[in-house]
Amino acid sequence: MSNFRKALIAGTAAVALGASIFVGLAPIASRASSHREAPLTAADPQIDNTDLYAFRSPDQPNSISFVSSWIPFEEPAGGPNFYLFAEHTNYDVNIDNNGDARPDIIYRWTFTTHYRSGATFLYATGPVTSLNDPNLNIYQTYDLTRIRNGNSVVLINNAKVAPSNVGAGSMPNYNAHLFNAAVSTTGAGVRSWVGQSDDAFFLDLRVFDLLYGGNFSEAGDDTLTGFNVNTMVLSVPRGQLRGPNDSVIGIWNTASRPSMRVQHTDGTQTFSGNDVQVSRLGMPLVNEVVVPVGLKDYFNASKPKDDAQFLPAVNDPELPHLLNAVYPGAFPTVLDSNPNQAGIQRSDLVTVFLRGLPGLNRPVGGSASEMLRLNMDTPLCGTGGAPACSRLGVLAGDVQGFPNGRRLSDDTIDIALRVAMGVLLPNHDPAAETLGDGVDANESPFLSTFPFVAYPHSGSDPSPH
Amino acid sequence: MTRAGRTVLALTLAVALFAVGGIGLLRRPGDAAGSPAAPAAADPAALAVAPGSQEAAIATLQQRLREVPGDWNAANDLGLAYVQEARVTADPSYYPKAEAVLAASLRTHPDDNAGAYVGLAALAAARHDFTGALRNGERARRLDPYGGAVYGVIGDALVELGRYAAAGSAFQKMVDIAPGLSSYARISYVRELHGDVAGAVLAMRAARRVAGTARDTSWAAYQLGELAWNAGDLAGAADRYREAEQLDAAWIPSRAGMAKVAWARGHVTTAIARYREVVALYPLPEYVVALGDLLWTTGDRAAARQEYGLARAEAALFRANGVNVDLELALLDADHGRAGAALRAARVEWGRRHSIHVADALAWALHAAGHDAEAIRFERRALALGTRSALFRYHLGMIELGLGRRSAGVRDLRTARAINPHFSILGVPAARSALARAGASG
Repeated sequence: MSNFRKALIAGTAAVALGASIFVGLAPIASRASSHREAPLTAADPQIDNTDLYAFRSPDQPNSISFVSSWIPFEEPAGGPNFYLFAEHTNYDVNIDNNGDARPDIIYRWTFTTHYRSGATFLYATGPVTSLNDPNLNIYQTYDLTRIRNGNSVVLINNAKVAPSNVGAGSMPNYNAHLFNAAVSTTGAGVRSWVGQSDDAFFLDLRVFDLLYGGNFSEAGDDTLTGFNVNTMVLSVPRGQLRGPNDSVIGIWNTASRPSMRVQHTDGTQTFSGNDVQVSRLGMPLVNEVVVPVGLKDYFNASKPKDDAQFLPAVNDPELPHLLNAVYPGAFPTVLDSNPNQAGIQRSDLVTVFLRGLPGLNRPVGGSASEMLRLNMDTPLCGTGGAPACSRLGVLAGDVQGFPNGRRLSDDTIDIALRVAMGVLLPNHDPAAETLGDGVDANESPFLSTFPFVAYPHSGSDPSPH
Repeated sequence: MTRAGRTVLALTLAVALFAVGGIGLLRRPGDAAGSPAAPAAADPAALAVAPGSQEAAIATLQQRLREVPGDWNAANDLGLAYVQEARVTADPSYYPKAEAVLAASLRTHPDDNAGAYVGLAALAAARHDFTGALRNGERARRLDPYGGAVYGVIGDALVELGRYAAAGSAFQKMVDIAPGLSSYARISYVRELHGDVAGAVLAMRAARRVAGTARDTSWAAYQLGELAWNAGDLAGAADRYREAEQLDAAWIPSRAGMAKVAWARGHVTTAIARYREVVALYPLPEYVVALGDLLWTTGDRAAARQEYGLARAEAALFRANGVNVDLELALLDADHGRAGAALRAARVEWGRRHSIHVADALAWALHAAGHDAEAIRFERRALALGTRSALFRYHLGMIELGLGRRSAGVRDLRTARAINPHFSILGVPAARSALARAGASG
């Protein structure tokens, strides 16, 4: 999580700065015998969780869809331009359905990489026209496991991951033959799709120049245009998710990997140790707007049940200070939900980020913890008597949208900017109601049916950005 | 290396060679034969950089800092990228650039800037200032006690300072908070240093399995090749080097590995040709010396001396950019008839740090200078961790023979060859001769 957001903040610099270029930050004027060059990865893109979405499925309103994206800034073209999930890594969607900030249901993807030929490490050795095409030399399979009350059940075994779209030469009919073909279903109505997709997040990264004393007068470009991500999409019937009290679920992603012992005193070796959480993501933008820089690694290792420790950061976030510094006078009101109490209070932010909105997605008896919260009963926007759909979600009265869960089309940046600047407080500045980055929609159309994410950009697109 | 990188390198080396009086040989980018040529000065193609390459990353970060000078995170990334570029191009002039950009990051954002101290630690380590690396790593740790890279730079410095138990603790902490390629690879190294070769292989295999890009997978495959090589598994090493080469043709060390394999299989002409290719692309002193050693064994002493001269010129260039190369010079000089200089350099380095590699270099320099009684103490220290090092064992055997301890010397030379029959281009024939002189066949 933190790496992606740091990458955001570093602007397009991060485009070219994958983990791999940091391999071997080590002395060079040395003999290999005397000095091992070991990588010091400053970024680990495979466990870099870009976004989490959760929404009622528009094609099956009785089910909830979860979209988790990883590996930011995948260049569609240029070599090597294929992207794999990490082996030996648990990719989890965690669901709390009783408000205790602990996972009650975990959906876990684990991956295996296969090489058809030991003689070559080419991705494709000829045209690839199906997921089973022998010309696809490197491919991944996954198992999807559900862990509930400590019991693990493998829901989907050995399913194929849709490959990276390396270009029309190798993959002449990518969307139909490879992307669409990668949907797996179970008898219990669970759907899973894993593969490469367009990065659904749309924003102008220059918003984050604020953090460095810049401004966002030049906003209006979707900086993520033309980049892909690796994505897993899961759709589960609501009845399999609902808890004992209500229809509100809390959702967050984690990734974990085994630790290992540096040395074994008894002379034995084990491949793996305990699993260690290395990534955490619930609500978007928490790491930028809320978590201080020095705590980002700590946050990635932390658990929602311990989130009370982040309350001070939520009550006095960085963004309003920055905006006030860059635009003196634009926001004359001191943002404070309770001026009569010592220190800055932002109960509005605590509500949005840690508790859920009363009457909408606040669970019964829930504790303060950071996760995406979704009321699974909120009707689909624009259907029946439900409010019209809006990119601004709850802020525009479209209560099916962010921060009641998060849809692919929700304009998270504009919403978060306005919320951070106090739009939910009665005494907020009018300027807060119009803040935005000038990017209102994604560059690629989302699919109307599962897996909903947009097709990835092709490796043969000469100018994807 | 890209064309741009190679051009920069050619220019830098040209300056270096000029500075030390010249040795009459300049390698031009891509000119594998190493024929005399002027450095490529204004090759317009050198300005074009491949998307996604290191050069592109640096250009993008530089552009970013021109647009938003206050972006200290980008400055930290650029500092690390410069350190990395120095390694990839063997051009140390990137180190002062890294230093400047990291200092600017700290001026912009003096507090809470762990990334700058991680960068400074990596830079100090790259310059072989391991005390400075540890100091900066500790600063970073105080600011970000949950950063995996923080424990990486701390542990790396501790290894080089010879503080192995503390290094093990740092890497344990690293893997407990950030399991992944970086931490698995370091655990592999610590296990290898302690003689746990099987455990080292397991950890490096884990590193390869979590590597997702071809480049990272290639890197781990190459390390598995090195582990196989050091254990005398020639076929296994060749398989892993070839795999690394296929995964990432731009990773030159795997080509050097294949050159080494060619030599071990007795194909000396092929090995020389391959090393010439490697050195033309990536003149790491280690490879330059290996080429020189190969030429030396064929009897072409003049050509060999040219390579040793180039390695020394590079050492001067590294030193001019703030890199301490005393350990490397000690090994080069001890092996090539400069015992006095070797001993001075090794003693200076031993005054700085007590790693097993410095102990070995000092022992070998003492042996070259005829001080075997003192040498054996340091060679035993070099082997104190239980490292399965054929080279250290060979050094020990030669020192023992120098002390007249025939049976111990023969035993240790045989052990060296049992660990890895191809442990060193010069050492293998030297060990054979020594065993013959001692009346033992091998």
